Amino acid sequence: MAYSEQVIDHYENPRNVGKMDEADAHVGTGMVGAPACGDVMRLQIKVSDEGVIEDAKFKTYGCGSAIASSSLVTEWMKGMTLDQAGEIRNANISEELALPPVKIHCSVLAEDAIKAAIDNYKSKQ
Amino acid sequence: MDISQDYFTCYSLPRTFEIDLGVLRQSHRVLQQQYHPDRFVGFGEAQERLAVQTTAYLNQAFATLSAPLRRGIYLLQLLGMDPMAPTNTQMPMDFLLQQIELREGIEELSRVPDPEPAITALARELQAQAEQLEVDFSQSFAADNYLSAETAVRKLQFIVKLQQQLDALEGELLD
Repeated sequence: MAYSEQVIDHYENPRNVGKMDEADAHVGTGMVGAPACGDVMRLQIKVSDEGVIEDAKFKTYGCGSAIASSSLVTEWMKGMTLDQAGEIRNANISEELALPPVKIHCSVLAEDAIKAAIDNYKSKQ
Repeated sequence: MDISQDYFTCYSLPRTFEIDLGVLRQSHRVLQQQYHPDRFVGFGEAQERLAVQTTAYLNQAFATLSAPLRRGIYLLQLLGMDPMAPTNTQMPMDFLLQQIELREGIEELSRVPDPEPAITALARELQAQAEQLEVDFSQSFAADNYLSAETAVRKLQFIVKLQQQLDALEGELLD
């Protein structure tokens, strides 16, 4: 299966790989996993007092599409409000990365990681 | 033979996680010989095709029941569950944290000068975890606690993937 140029770009030059302090009240951490492919994704957001996402980091163990999906959403989320980030759908991700149907679940993983990170942040407030 | 019947029925095995692998192998061998396509040459196209289909069914059945992970998934699928659904990404947090640590550990291995002892230790740990999850699955399934059985088999899938990854790395590093 051929990866699209967008996937290869994010895979070879992943944006925002890293880790934030989970204990920080401004940080929301989302962790999800896809048993079918054994992928694990950690997505973290740093939220300002005004409810704007100032920074986002991820670490994904998985295939190129899963890495590209999480890399892409960290770029998208910066500067968004929590509500805006919560509206990101896997269809937006798979469309941007031109994911083939067998890799759509990688974008589902990224969408769920965003929701989990937002929920985690809100639970700390 | 009815190739629409479930795999447990096909080998006259009870529909449980604990099965007698000796009985499975023995029944498989008998059925495989009985339906071997070579025996149906000259019986007409329909018979020949049926023998090929039956053999494919038997191979699939044996592969499914002989591997604990696939057997567990199959048991739940027979109940209409879909433990590997790609849309279900929720896993216990502590398990995912541990998964990330294990993967970081595997990444480290390529940078260690003599990785063999670490690979052996990790392989042993993964095997122990896999065996524990098989016990968890077996007990939950036997107690009709299908949701815990599902969690156990989903975890097992992650561990089996890691084992495959470690095997591949071992081949690369120790050659």
